[in-house]
Amino acid sequence: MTRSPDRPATLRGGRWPEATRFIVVLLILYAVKQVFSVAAYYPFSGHDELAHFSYVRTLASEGRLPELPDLAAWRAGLRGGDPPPTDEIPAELYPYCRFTLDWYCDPDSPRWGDDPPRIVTVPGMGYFPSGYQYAANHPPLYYAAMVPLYDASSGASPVAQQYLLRLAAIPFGLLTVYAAYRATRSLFPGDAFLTVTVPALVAFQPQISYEAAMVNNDIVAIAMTSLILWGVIAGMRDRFPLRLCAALGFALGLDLLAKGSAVTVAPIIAAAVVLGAGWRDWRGLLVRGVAIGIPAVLLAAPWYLFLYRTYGDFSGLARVKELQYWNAPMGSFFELLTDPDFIVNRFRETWGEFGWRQIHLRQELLWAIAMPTFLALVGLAVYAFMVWRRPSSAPADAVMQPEPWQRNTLIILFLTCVVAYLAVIQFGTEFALSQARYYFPAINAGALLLMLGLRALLPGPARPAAQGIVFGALVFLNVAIMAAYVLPFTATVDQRTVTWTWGG
Amino acid sequence: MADVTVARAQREELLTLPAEAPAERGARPLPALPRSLMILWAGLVLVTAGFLVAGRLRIGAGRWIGRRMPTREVWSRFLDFLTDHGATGPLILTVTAAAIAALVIAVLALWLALALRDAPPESAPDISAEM
Repeated sequence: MTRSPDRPATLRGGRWPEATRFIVVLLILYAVKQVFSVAAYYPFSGHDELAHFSYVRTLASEGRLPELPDLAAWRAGLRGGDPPPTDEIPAELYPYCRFTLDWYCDPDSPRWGDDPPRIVTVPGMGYFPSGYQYAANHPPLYYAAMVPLYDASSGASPVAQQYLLRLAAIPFGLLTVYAAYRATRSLFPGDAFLTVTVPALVAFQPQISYEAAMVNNDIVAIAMTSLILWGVIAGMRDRFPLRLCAALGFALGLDLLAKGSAVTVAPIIAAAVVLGAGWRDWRGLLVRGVAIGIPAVLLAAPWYLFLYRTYGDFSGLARVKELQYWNAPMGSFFELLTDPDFIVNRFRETWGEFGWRQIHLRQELLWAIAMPTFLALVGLAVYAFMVWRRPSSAPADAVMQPEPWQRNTLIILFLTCVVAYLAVIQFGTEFALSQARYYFPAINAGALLLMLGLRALLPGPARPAAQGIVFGALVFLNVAIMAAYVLPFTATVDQRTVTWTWGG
Repeated sequence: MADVTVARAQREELLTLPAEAPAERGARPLPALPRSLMILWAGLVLVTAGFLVAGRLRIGAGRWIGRRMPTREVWSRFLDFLTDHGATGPLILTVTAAAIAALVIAVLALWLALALRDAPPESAPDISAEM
């Protein structure tokens, strides 16, 4: 980042632009509230937090990546009386088994308490491993980044280490919020409403905050994709200079090393480059493609070669499918696309379902969130219509009269959201566990479009109050969710009278 | 086309956001708010503070699900949970301080959110070359 020499940034004298002051205060607020969130969520209650923690442990203690068990080899070993060694979730974490996907869970049983089950029998299907590291096919970037912290805290208890690793997720959340701010300022530089509301929505979106307060690799993918989207917007404006293309390729490579779902970002970048640089300039497109592709491939290739060598494909999902006999397809693509329950459940997961789907937000609260969301979507349609019509009598409003590159960028952002959602549907055609969090990397694109829609419905004089109301409502939503859901759950979940069901 | 070129040559720090235009305004620690927005700010702060100090809410998760409980009681039970699980005094103090600090900073951020104004069209900031 460059800075003007005649206007040094300083906290004293109020010489920061107001927008900069706002984002600095928002980032401080975000960091502090995330520190509180780390303590507020029950230990290991994040989705797959135990599996992610175990992955870090294997990498730190054995210096190697964990592997999903090969079911045929595992069963053959079992028949011989000795199943092959499996990368397992440590037995000492069995008290938290209710927060895992695939571990027969009866922590209060005297039989399993000291010697947790590692084999389950499924009638008609045979034996399956239980309590293995089912996140072992995830790329290693996040886990490798956590190893130094794990090593440094090796004398502490697993719970204490888990809290430390949770704290280490906060910087990725900060990056996401900052990228939202810069993306907004790049696209609509002078607009106060979007400058306030877009980063605020990202900062206070409860599930994105949840990701940034737990042990998981999703938040790295969210942060990297957010940086890529900021770069895409800058590229659309500046016709993708080569340095930016190389930076995008580097970020894409890291994204692919953070989570496999990042592969959906590649076509977004490609579409943006074609739209931004112009499809007629095929030589320019080729050079830019190479500038993006080389760093991305160089960074990600070793991991994907490892996947292919280990699992015979580039995802390991075939082995996941083999092991998770219960994780059946949810339906066909078009069934899921048009299934109201599928849509409603993704909406629920977008805002709630903390504690691995054990904390369900009430209908009233979901409606309170759905109504302004719906309003913003209507506003977005109104905005698209108004931009398309582009009336000559429109008042001077840079946001309502976007330049061609801004219009194209909005198309790319919309495309980002569509691709992210369709990818979730596609996953659902293979697995029952398709979840909203798989489209969270598109949060900045979604926040920008939603707030743009809301803005389109607001008359100019009402916007200063509206941006404060949006900010205040988001803060209050977080306070209410913490007070009515998260803290009561945390304070009572280990009391035996609580019934729980995995999968809600 | 010319407008686009000019905009690309600028930087955020060089541009005239309302807060930095008049020198005397830029020197303030906090930008001034019109009376109506100040009332809105005070209202939002009071509602949240009132909810936290004297509010009751219907619990939506855990063993108390469905019960109406004072917010303060939820907080004290949460602190009990931390104590029961071996959190030390300084750790509990840190968690409490983080919660309070987050609320105080949110009050400040809300003020700044209300104070931010659109930049004049001719001086729209840009961040080119910063990516």
